[in-house]
Amino acid sequence: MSIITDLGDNFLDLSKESLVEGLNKLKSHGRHQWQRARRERLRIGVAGLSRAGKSSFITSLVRQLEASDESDLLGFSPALENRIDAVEVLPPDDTRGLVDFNYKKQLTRLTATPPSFPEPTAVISGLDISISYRSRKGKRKNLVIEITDFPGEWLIDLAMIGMDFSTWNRWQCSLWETRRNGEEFAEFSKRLFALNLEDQHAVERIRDDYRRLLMTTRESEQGALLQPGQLCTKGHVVDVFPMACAELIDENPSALSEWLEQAFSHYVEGTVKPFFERYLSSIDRQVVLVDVQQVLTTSQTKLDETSEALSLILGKFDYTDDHSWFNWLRPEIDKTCFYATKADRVLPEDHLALRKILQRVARDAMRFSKSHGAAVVIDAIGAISTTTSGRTSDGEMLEGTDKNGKLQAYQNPSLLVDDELCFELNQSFVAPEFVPIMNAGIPLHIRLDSVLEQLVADWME
Amino acid sequence: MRTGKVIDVGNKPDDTQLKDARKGIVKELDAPLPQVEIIEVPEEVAPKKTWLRWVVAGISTIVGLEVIRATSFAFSVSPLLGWATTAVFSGVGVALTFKTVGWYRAGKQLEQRARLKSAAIDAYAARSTKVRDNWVNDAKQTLTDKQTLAFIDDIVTKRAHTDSREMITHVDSYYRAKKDPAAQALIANRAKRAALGIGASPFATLDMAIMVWQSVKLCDELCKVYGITPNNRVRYRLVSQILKNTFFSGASELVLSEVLPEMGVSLAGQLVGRAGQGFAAAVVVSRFGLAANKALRPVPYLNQEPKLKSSLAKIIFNSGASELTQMGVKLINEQKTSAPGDR
Repeated sequence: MSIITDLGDNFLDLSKESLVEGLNKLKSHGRHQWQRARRERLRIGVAGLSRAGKSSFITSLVRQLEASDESDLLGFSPALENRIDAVEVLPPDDTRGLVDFNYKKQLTRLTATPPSFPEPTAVISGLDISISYRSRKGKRKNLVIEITDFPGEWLIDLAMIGMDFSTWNRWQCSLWETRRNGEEFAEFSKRLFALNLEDQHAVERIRDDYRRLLMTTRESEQGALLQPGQLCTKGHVVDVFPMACAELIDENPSALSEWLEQAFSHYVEGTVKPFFERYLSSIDRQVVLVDVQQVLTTSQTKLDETSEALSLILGKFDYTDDHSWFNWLRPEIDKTCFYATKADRVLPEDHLALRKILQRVARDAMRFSKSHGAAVVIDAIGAISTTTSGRTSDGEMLEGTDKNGKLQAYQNPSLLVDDELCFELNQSFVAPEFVPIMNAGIPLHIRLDSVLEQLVADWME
Repeated sequence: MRTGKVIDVGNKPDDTQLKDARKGIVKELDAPLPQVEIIEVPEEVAPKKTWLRWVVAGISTIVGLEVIRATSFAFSVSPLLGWATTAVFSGVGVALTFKTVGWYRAGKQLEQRARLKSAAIDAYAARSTKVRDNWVNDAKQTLTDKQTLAFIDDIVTKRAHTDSREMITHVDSYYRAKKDPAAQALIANRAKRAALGIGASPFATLDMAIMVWQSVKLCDELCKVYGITPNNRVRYRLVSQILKNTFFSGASELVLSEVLPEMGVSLAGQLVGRAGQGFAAAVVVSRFGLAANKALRPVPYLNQEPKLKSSLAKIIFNSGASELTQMGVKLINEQKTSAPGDR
């Protein structure tokens, strides 16, 4: 079906040019699927809510692979066994219909003086990593790893698939009620309820207001579940989208509810489903990144919301307990890897606590993956490390350099005490912001070799 | 719609909880922090076998008294004979002492290796940086291979975050990449030699000698791969340990038909008719080698433990038709062109 879709509007156009173009597309699709069937093409999905560190994760992962001769990949068996011959970073395959991740630009930021973190994801982008390697039996092989980066806000929209407008509206309104600016939303609802649908200017105005309200709330309170997520990406234009309206709950159907319902269907069918089918439904392995420390510095509500968001997102995927030959026909995920990011910002002794907290945050999502047969991995990682640890009279500390070149050290507060999350301690503590540590152009990392081992090593046997 | 769930966390910790909690500190530094030091842990003393000491002391006393009696008798016959006897006994005594100490020390290697492996199993379960440091100290006292020690040092210095499970996983990967392939090749090589030797041998006693010889040579070679100095005590202990763990588990395991399922369907399906004594010898030597490999490794196999079928596959697929015939093996795809060479 996707092949036909990709042929575009000219599918019925029988001119020579369009036929040649169509045949070329069919050919590249065929090659692409053949490679997937032969396990020469692995598609990895990197999911995570906004600011979880997806772009940093991808940039560092690619850099570590690209410089596998020099980088510290002790835990990645193909690198340890010297079986990697060459690694090439390529723009995404034409069949994927993605813009380039712009890895070079992200790397330039990292290698600048002072180094800075990769830019957050603004649009859906991707890249392919082509690895030439020798199998354990000594046979020369090639594996292409496809990685897709997309704004974290977009993922939460997956929850809308399978919902109707009234269910969605009730859910969103209940979420807005718990926000600090709940009153502002109530005010907005009243204005929306009184909207004259004939007045196009008023309609545009109220749409802008909703967009602004949503963005402000997500930025200030990190309301992970507030939708539509695609509205929150700066520079991304969405023409038709649904809006939540508290006044419509328990009301009889009206012209407004019908209009919003149409917008909801249009958004789900025209925006969310194509996004899911095109970029997310053919994933072989799923990475889920969670910024556990961000959760700890906010509140229990944030923890619950993140947990719910993760289970809603991961509940939309198909899973399998065995990656069979037929997986290319009906892609299913055989392994889900949950990673607590930014582990470099806590003491090594707290990494266990990070894993424990991640288990709590992603409990439902993990249970769902496991119950459908997919293997589940949990770990604490630091894609681009900003600290190293050392000892002082105060005990073990983390040291790093800030943007002004000042060397500082800190000891983070406990994350867990007697299995209880230390929200208050972490809310009152502000850790210094350090710049990434680069070692001959390669970012220092924590456990990215384990990540590679878990994600790709078995495809490189 | 889900309304969220109640998780019993997030309450304000009371004073007793906060007592042990870190509050967080920020400091400005003039110089980089020193590296994390490894905590020295005193070596655990193994329980001593006091009865054995008494037996040795008793025998030594009897031997000593006999030596004194013999020397006195020699002096009573002639002073020259007395001095000559003293010199001979002294020489023998010194040589024996050196031999015994060497024997004893070499034998300790296996015990230390077993202790290190047992500690590795605990460390894998623990997931702690302190347990990792303890294991690293044990490893430094036990392992002699410089490359392995450098690898472990590299992890400790460059990766302070590595916990005990990760350390054991890294060491396992290191052995899988750097040491195990050599060990597997040696096992296949010695098993093939044993199979060919027994295939050509016309006498049962010679068969036994070939088996013992190849097994001992394999034992020595594996010891070298895993950084242990081989001597008779090591061989004896290793062989007795392997016999106890492997072969005494049931005589039927030595029967080839019982081993075939272990070889996997694809390989077993390649064999036809009766596999001869030669191939049976290859099975026995391979099993011995794999058990020795397992005993000599300082960390357990976390995954990809070598199987008998992979060793036997190497032997079969790396042997020519005449060699296979000599072993008493006939592959199905060659059955139509030549008859199996039964001994």
